[in-house]
Amino acid sequence: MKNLLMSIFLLGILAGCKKDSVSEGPDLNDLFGEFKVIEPLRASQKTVDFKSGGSVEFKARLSIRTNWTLEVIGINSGARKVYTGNAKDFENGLINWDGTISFAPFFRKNESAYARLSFENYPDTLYSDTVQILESRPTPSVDILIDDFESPQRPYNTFQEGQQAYNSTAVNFQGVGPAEKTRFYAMSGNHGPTASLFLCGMNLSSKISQGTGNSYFQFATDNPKKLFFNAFIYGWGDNKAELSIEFQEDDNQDGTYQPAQEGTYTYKIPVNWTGWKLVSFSYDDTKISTSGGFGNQDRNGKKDLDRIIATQFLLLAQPGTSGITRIGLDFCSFTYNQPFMP
Amino acid sequence: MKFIYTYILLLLSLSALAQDKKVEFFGAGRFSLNNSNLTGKLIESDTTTARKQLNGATLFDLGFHIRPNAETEIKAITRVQNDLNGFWGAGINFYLRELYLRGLLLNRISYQVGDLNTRMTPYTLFNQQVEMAQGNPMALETFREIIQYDRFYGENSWRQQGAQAEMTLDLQPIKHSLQIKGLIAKNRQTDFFSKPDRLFAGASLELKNNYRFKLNYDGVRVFDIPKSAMFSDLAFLNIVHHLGLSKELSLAKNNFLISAQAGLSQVEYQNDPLAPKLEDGAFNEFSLAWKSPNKSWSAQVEWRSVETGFRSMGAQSRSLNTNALTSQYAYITNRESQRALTFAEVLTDGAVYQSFLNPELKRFHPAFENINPYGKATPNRQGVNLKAAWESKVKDNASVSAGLASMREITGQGTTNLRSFLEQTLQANVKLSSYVGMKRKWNISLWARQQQTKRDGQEGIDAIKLTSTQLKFGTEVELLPKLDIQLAWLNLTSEGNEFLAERNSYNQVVFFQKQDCNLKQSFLIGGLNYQFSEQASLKIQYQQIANQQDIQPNNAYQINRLAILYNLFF
Repeated sequence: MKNLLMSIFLLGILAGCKKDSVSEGPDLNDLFGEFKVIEPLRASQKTVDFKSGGSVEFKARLSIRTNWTLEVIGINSGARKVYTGNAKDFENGLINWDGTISFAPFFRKNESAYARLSFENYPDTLYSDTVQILESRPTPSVDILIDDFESPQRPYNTFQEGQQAYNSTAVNFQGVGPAEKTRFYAMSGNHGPTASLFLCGMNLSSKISQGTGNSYFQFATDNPKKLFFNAFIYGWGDNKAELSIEFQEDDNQDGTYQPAQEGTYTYKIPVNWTGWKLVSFSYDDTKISTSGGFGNQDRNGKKDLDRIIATQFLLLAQPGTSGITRIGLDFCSFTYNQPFMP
Repeated sequence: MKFIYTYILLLLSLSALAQDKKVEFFGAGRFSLNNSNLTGKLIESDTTTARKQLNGATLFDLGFHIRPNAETEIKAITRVQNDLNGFWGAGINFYLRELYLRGLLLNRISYQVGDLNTRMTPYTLFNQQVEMAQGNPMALETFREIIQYDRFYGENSWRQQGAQAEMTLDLQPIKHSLQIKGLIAKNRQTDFFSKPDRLFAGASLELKNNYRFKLNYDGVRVFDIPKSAMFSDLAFLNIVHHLGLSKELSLAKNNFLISAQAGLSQVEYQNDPLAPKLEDGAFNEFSLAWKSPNKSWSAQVEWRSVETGFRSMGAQSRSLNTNALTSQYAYITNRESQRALTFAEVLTDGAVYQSFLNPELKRFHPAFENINPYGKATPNRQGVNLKAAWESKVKDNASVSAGLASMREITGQGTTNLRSFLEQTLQANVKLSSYVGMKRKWNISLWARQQQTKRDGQEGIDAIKLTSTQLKFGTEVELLPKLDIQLAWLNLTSEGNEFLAERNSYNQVVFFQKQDCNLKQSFLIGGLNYQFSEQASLKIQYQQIANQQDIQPNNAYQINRLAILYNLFF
């Protein structure tokens, strides 16, 4: 009995002598307290040279943590870089703008830009002073260009539901010009509330895309996590369109894609914005097609980068919507290891 | 045709073996049908959800015990399942449900390889099953048995694949015996890119003597295999040590059990530059249990303290997935929002449970369980549990038990103020037929629990006041031999507010979701139960699930269901 009590005592000492920290998680006062701007939005400098690697830090201090959106806007170009987050202190490089964009076009040399900070749950909007761009950021190259839509004579395989669709390249469509250079691809269609969600589509074979005679894209990696698809996508802000980007894999490598037997990997994007947004995702983020008989069965059951025989773009209507909707598409590319960041 | 001949030949061979008792057959059969109708305020605005839903399944498990020799046994269970919508065989699933081999080595070491039902202690490896597990009326018992059977939960165990071995050493010189157990199981399959293979290893040592003294050590180690995913060096490591002592005593014919448990945990996310440095965690538990000389009365007092940093993947994994889709009416409203679980699904729907251990502290529903959502291993809790129970001298004639738990946090969440918890439970089971002189069976059961959560603080910022009450009442009356009428009424109310912690992949709290709660759920059951044998029954029930939420009053609904369930184990 004596030994038992001694053992229990020792166990107690073993387990009970450490004190825990005072609290875990973010301070509730920071989340649900009163919203106030403690320090206004300001830029770290008045001028910046992005060509030589310069950057601008935007700082502010709030009384609580809340969801915010900070946009850096080019006054002349209309280019936009968008950051979102949840914080109360914009310090220590939280927002360090390096001249990249989220929405085309690109920021220009000698252009002034300003930042606008808005909040999801509060009506306040903060503005920074302007920053002059002495030199803009050099546009990085992409690893494989799928299409920049500058050649209208390219044999795109197009298809549509009904007769009221536009499905071709354009210099200007509904008052909108390209994200880069002179042309872009426009897709438009009309639909009723009970109509098919599919409006129109375009299929571009890898052979035509590359122009090298190869039936498949020639990637330097077979790892889906390391391959990124990038494109500028224009949204008219109608919240009706959804773009499905699809990669058809010729699993048996016979040079023909058989939709009932070979896999299609898709990535769907609800187009709920206005402007040319740069969209990127890794091939690993794609999912096997759920359209019955259209690429939802993969012969070898896995993603094969070396068997992508075509890229397909489908304009879909978001469920519960009706009327005309449209999207623009420009400068579709693949990059390795990281998204395209112009 | 050739396949059929082969199959018949195989069955004949097995029959021949069966005659030598080298092969034994066993299994289970089930037919379930749920025909439901959705009504209530919800359908005034919801024009998309189908009002009526009919689903069900027929399944048959065939198991073999094959004993090729006296020291070896192979167990295999195959399942054929045909969903109600699987016409002409299109919906048939045929798969191997369980397979293991076990035996005895050197007449001393028992081993098992293949599928394992693994369980150690409530702090190392334990399927806690905390929600709604207690006091369920007999009308729901078969549903619960099916969930346990289908998910391999057994007696608080987790199904894993691997190998385990056990042996007992007789230490004569010191008059003790030492039982040694070890297991290793594969916990996760690599994707060959970023997720490495994960193994779960456990060891138990238990030293006992004839003076009813027991000392046990249990240790688990969860670790990733380097180089099994070629694009990632990340490795997860979780180590838990558990030391326990217990001694049974008899004083004036009263029986006492004194027990003490303590342990430590360690978690590391190796080679991960983003991973925070996590503190080790510890726990301790002391308890004293008493039984009266005639064993009618019993009582227990327990102290438990589990530090905030205590992490044990084997003990803190949750079997109930509160984000799971329900089998019926998974989406409601015109926005097709996922329907939140009601406690009727928790008790009857196997689809909302999961079978895998995982390192995250998964979300829980505070109205269902707010004090011990991860069982005894719930981190950041300390306090006292008191229990008292009485049982009639004639076994199972009547029993009453009551419990009181007073717990509190060790570390505040988002504030320095601490949550305090108070739980009161009462349970009674009575065979009324024994007291009123009825020849036929008449049983009633009652279970009631109230959990109160409080935290001082500023209203709207960090103050919490949440009261959740569960009531379960059941009765069964024998109409004819083997035929019972079963009635049950279950009710859950939850009022107040809570802050639900959102955690990142390292289990650190990164956000709190404010939740105002005004929930009223009820589950009414009436039906017949025909008990063919102890292991075979047919239930025909009318079930009514009512869910009211004063926060979203337009989404109040009621599901009226005809449930037919035939269940057989043989």
